[in-house]
Amino acid sequence: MFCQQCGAQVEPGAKFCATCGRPAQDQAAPPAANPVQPPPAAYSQPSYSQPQDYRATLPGASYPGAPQSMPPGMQKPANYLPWAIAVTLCCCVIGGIVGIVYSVQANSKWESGDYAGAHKAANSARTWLIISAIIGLIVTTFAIMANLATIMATM
Amino acid sequence: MNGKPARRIFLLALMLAVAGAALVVIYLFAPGSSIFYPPCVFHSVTGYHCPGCGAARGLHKLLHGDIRGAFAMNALTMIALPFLLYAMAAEILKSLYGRRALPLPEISARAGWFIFAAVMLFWILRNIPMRPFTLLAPH
Repeated sequence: MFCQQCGAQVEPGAKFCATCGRPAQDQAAPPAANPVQPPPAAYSQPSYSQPQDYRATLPGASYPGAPQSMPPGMQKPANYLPWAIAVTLCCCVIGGIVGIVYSVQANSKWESGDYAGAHKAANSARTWLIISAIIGLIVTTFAIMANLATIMATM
Repeated sequence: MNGKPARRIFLLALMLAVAGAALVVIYLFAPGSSIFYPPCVFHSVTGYHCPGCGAARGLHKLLHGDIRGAFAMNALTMIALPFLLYAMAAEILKSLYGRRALPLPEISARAGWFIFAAVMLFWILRNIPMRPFTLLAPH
């Protein structure tokens, strides 16, 4: 089946689209019939934060990144800014800064109505942060082992 | 943190274990004089301080109650620390329970860019070899 948000192919049985993060909805099994689906009340955006999109009704509004009406059930992507700052300060400046930029971009795209773009940016932030943290851990481990080896050699 | 609950809890436990081990090591061993700390890659390559340089030494001082010394090492980290800990706790609880357990204000894009600018400015200023900017470098 295909994601209703971005059109990417979604694995059968997957709960989220791997490309844009939209909760996958199987046409054959609507989410209401899915007992694992969380109650929508806890998740849904308050109605006042859904921008009234007058621009989408204007002629010629289909430029790239044009504001889209929010698909039902779509949530604001997770905010990775705290993690990005922590990664920047703890180990990995480059990856952390890229993570900061992507997570702020996710926020600003969401505010401007580019919901799929917001999810894409948030996913990029997460990828950069995870890879940076793993590289940081590996470098730290190797440095400790190298230090140990030096000490052993001098004994 | 998407994924199945079991995987999510495993990842969370792993993160907390790594963070806890790091805190114990930072408390017990003074950074700069121990085998446990790799030098900052950015600092060893360029000779300049990165935004996080001094964070480990500052945290070591903070854990031993030396707040002034901690700020002397990396002021930005010490200012950010309480906010980061709270925000990360709120995000972790949200990912576990699926809803906000701790109130966390939405960070607007404008505030996000302001934070980004603050980090970059700190990075630049602490490398200016002149008082008062040297106060921002580890000393």
